[in-house]
Amino acid sequence: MNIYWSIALITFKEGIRNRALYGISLLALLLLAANQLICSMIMRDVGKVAVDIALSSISLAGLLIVFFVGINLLAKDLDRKTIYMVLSRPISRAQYLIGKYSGIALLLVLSVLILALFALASIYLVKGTYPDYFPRFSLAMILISIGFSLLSLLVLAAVSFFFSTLSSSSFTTLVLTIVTYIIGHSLQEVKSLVEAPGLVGIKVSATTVGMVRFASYFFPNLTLFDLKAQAAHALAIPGSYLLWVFLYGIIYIVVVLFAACMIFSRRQFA
Amino acid sequence: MRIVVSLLLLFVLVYGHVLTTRQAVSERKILAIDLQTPTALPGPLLRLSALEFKGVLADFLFLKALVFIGASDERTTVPAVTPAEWQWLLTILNSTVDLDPMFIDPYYFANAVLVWDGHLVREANALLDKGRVARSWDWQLPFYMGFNSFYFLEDDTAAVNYMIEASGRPDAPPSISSLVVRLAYKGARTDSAILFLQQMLAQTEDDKRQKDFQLRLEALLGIRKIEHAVVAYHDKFNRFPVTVEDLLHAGVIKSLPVDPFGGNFYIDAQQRVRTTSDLRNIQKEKTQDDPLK
Repeated sequence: MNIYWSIALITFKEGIRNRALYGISLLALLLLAANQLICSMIMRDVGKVAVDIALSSISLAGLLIVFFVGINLLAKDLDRKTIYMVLSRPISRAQYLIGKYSGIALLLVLSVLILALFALASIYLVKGTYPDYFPRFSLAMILISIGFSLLSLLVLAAVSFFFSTLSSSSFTTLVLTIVTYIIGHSLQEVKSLVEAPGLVGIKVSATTVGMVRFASYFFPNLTLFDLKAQAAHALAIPGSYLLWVFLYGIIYIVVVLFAACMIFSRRQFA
Repeated sequence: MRIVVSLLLLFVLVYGHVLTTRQAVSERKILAIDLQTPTALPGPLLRLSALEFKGVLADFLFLKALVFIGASDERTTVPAVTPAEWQWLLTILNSTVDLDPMFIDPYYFANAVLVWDGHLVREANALLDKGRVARSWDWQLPFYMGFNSFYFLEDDTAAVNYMIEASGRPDAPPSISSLVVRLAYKGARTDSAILFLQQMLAQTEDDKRQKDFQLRLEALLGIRKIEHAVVAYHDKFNRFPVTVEDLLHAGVIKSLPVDPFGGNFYIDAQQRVRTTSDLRNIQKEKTQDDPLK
């Protein structure tokens, strides 16, 4: 446990020292300041727009952290060959990988927490200015939505780890992770489209349906974690949904990290 | 000395910056926006490409529509918004509600602007229908659709159905139920229209639209006054008047109401009271000033 923790802590500190984090926070801050400005132009659904912008800012900033900070933290060790120094010590490759992931997860949790504070502040600022235009507002739903956004970021970070173990270039990992993100958010709609092609009047071959079905198990279904619309309109979500999606996220992370560890342990470093 | 030169240089640069900013922005306005090619993707494709940012994209598309109409208010051309631009606006608003079908603002805006200014009533009702389904708790959307069906499309059956749906939804004002009853009686269209407009007026926050509704209400009250006089005339002489002046001469009306839109009331061949303005602003095309103000 100690080994994991020390690697996690080192990674976390390295992440904090990364200047990119400041830039991302600044971007989020700007977007949240824009919230006030944009909401002043909305006629009725001010609450919805305020929540939309706040939650989307968190997602966007979180994504940037995964893409540009998270991937770098692992890739740097591989790129600069500093990994040899780590692996020459009495720790297994799996321990190293899990520890590294824990560090990035810690960084993501902290970043989302900070972003969430700003987001809530901006929402309440708008709410204070236009108290009559928040007919449907649920703080609980907003917090749940932020929590699931965080979970989807953790899933994406795990996927980026998996790709890191496959390729030696951080750029390839970045591209693959971005592609996975895009697929993860379109999978749900593409799957329902090819499974009922008659609705839009297209023909789909059986192979395509099979491929999409296979892809739906391979790639993470990130749409499931996206509860922004529910939070913005304060719609109720059954507890069973939250439970199953939470379990899906956790199991996906464990499976992907397990596969990553297996590949990483057998990998030859040139 | 160096400080003076630096300050002078800074002043010149800042002046240059302000000048170029203004000039570049005004030059941009000269560029014609190609509205013939709608910038919006079809709904399903747009949803797919918006990834997890559907809600925010809907907000920004809506702002685009809002800014466009705001800017068109300052135009001096007649008409201020061309038919192609109305189509563009319709596409943008449709995309907005495809991305977030529960967002009330695009519906509210479409109902106000597309219907009253753009005269795209059927298209607006098709748009509102998406909201009627998605916002199943909201009585306002079927109410708007009912109003449009009754007032513009003159489809009373559809109007009654929408109003029944609206009256059954939570928080619907009780006056809607009386509207349903009134609509079910065919014929009393003016009375229904007055009731409808009073309800619309109560719901509208936009000042310009409120003035417009008030004007229409005033015109309709004038029509109703004459209609009552026509009935009184018929009761008295057992025949229908030919002109509104007949009503004055017969003494069934003391004075003729004035059409706030600048038209003249008349009685058509079916004994229906109408106005030459057709409840549209006929002065607007003649003078630059807005007669509403």
